Amino acid sequence: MQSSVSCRMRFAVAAIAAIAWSIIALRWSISRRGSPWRHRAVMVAIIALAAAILSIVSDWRSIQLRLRMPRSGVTIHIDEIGDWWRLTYERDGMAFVTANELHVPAGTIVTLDCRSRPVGAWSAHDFLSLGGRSSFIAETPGVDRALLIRLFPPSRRHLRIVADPAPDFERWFANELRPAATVAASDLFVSSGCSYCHVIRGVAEDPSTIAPDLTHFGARRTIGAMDMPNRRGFLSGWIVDSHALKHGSEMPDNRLNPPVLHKLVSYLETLR
Amino acid sequence: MRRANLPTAHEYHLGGCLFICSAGVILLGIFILVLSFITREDWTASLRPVGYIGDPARGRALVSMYGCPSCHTIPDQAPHGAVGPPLEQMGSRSYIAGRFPNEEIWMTLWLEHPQNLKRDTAMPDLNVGRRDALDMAAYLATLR
Repeated sequence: MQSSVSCRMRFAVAAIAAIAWSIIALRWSISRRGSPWRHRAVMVAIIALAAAILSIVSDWRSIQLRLRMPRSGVTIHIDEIGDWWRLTYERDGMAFVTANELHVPAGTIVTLDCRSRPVGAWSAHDFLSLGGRSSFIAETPGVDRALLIRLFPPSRRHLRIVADPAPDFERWFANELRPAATVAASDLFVSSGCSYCHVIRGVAEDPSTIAPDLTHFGARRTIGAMDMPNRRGFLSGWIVDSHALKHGSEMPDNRLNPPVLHKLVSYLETLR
Repeated sequence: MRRANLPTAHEYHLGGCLFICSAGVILLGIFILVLSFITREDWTASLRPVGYIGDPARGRALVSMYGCPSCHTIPDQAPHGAVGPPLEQMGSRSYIAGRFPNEEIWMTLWLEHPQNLKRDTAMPDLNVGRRDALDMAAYLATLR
């Protein structure tokens, strides 16, 4: 089981600022005996100190982890596009795009760069706030499902976080960098119209961001940026009529010729 | 006139009696629970439709696992797909796929390899095993 901890260093920075402010306020109030502001300043300083101590205590584990854990050098840019997540991985000048399943190496610090509006996220173990750049640590390997809630505009989404052991993550990373092979069935992907919105690197590359990248779709655990397992029955239903499975889905209905549908599903399963 | 050797109302040991009774009720409850746990197989067997050897309860779970509701509307199972025909009264239907009699053997064969019975059907071959197909056939036959 996984225990994911986001380093909420912003809280710690706020705490240090609060301590500094309280020291300044105390010095100022002491230097002005008899001032009516003196008692107020003391009260403010006490409250600021209490808040600072509370936030440091609550963040203690995050701060410790951030100091102790090694950095992986992986930066993950998270873009919320419509109702799915585009994930751009970057490390040492190598980059690739994937979607909806956030793979992280367990036991190391990764940098999350959420370029959409901030969103509150609850995973099974910790609260984390996504927005701007933040550090993220998954202490142990495992799969976690984070619930992401934004109040305005109201939205409620899931993000699957998969923390792999370091060797597995390296294997996954190297595999994701690789484009898909062109096979006979990949023509179906283009001729069926999937490539108007979806990208499979090596088969249909159009730098559009309308729909998730499907280069290594077969290796994903779920489909539709939701909790639906990536199995043939669900996938067939999803391709033909995704609206029955997800309210507000942007994928159009595809009434494909049945043999083409089956071949396409088999092809998507081979994209590992 | 007072009868000899009989206690008056306030002399009955009401507390003791209640204690013994409640212990009896609890014991009886535990006995019923244990009995129902032992005979739980028989409850599902009573739901099994005539002419089917599968387990409908397991079949219900399998229907959800294979993703049937993503194309067919099935009572009490989400989502409600509209790609294929609704299975709300599958047990009462006469034919499967408009062609084959709605019997255990045909339903099992249909679930295992739809393309073997109807070459151009849109229903995908989900690599369903024989036991799973029998259980799902039994479940579908209970939908009336």
